[in-house]
Amino acid sequence: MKDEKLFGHVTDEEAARIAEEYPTGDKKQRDRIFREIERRVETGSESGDEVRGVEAYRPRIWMKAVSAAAAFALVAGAVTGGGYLLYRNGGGSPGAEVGEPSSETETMDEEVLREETESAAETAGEEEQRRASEAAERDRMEEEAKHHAMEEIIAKIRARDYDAYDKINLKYSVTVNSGASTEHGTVKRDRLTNNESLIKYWSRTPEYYGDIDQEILDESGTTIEELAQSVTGNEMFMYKDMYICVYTDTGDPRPAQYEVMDRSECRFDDPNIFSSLYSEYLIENDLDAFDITDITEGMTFLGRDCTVLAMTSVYGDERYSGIPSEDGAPEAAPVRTPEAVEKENEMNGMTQELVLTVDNETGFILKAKLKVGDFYEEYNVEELRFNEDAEPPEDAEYIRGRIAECEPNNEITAAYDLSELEE
Amino acid sequence: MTDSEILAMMQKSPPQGHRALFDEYYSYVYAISVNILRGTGTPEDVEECVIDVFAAVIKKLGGSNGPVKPFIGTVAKHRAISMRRSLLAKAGKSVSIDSEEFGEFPSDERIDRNAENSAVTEQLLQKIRELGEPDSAIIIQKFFYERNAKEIGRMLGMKPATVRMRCARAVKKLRGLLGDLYREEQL
Repeated sequence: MKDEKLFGHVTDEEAARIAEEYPTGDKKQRDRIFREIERRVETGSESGDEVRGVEAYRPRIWMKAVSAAAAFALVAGAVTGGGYLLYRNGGGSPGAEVGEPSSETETMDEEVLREETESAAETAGEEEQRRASEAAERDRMEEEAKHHAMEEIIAKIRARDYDAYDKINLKYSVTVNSGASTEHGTVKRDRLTNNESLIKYWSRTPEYYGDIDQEILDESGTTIEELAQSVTGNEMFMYKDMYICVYTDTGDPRPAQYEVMDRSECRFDDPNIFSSLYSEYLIENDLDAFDITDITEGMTFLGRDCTVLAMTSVYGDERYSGIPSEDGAPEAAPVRTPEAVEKENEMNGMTQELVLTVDNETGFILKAKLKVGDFYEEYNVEELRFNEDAEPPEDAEYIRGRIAECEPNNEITAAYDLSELEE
Repeated sequence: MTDSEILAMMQKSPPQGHRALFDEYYSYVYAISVNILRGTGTPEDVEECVIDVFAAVIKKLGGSNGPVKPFIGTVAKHRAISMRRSLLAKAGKSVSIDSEEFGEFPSDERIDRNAENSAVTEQLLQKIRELGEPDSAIIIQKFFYERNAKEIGRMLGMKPATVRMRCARAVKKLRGLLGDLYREEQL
């Protein structure tokens, strides 16, 4: 059946009636479209045009800094000019003898001389004022250019588009809890097949397990050192309509487990697998809470042209700042021990520093370091490849082989129809 | 949610207001866009059109308090026509603004023809309704909105394979229901 033959020309009224009777679009699709609308409204761009400048975004601290710098430059200009005049006209200065009348009766020559000297002093003062004014203008223009560059780079971050590439591979590491836990991961995406994968492993230092009671360790027959030697992993494959995850733990002698569910129920790839990255979490949740304090252009990272942004915010002003919990749920703040809560309370009101290295071409964040007091989190992209340089996500044969080594984690997984892996 | 409520929300809390506007009119804008772009644009073009429409409407609606539907409908129609023209131009075709494809009414004769078309569309919709749910929804999503099985599956909570199967059966049933409304070879 050809669709154009089923529905010929439909009037607007009929289209409206169909829309009312049969709404379209699933939530995931609607959310994705809405996000793009909001992005365009925010950046003032239309029809996927290149984004130039940002209307809505105004870094607050920076605006204050610009105003303060301009005001300072003007005051400095006035003071410098005034000082020069004072110097020229003040006691003991070269102009003193002409500034102060030596007698009540001034000769014509003295009057002429004084007028000429005053005129010269005024001219010199005006020259100094002009120079100061020019310097202030230069400063203002430099600040404006810097401000513009900041807006441009924020717009680039906002306009990042993983759909602009047929294939992307991104290898990264994330360190949280001030180095106590490190995640190494690789993301692969093929836009054409819509298959994606994210394979990540966590390792932790003994300090990470420092809060575990000895009693629990004894019951489990393990030690903090043993725990710290184990590496846990999630191998997530978004293949056709399925989400398959293999859970591994080198500290567990039992076979690894796998889970399968309908991909539409999976939130790790909404709108794509990159949404699980630390950098995406920063952009979606934290970026607005930070003010840009400095920008450095012309940097190179991974052989790519980058811009470095230094930003600050006050800890506790935003709802939660930090990496998503390990189950991948980005909106959930981690469960915290009383000590952690105490530590967090201590940090409330402290200045958070965030330094971002942004790829100029893609707007991807390649490096991020978040620091509050002695606590820090760090994200580093270690490799970034596109299109023909990138590998496709793991294929059906690989996934079949991988889950053949594992056990299903529950009855639903065990009964799941895996025929899509055979197609 | 009424237009006044949406506009009030857009003033009070823009992000929530934008979302309310989007939720209320997404299907309407999509329907108008796909109706004009059918046979010319890809699903991505339709989405692009929908995004453009909402971005433009959100920028222009601030502070207004009139009815939203006619405004958003007009913006959607104009944007879709403009996109269609642009797509046809890229494909090396050119279509006059007076073309029948744009739904303009240059003569009385055209109005008659459209009225006739309208009657046919109404009968077609009636027959689709008679298929019952979820088959009627599958047919509309597939043939009016041009959604694929995966997208329809996500909307209706079905597997794509199930959607394909039900769709094939519904088409067969629809052939019978339509009778002489459509010739056999048209389906």
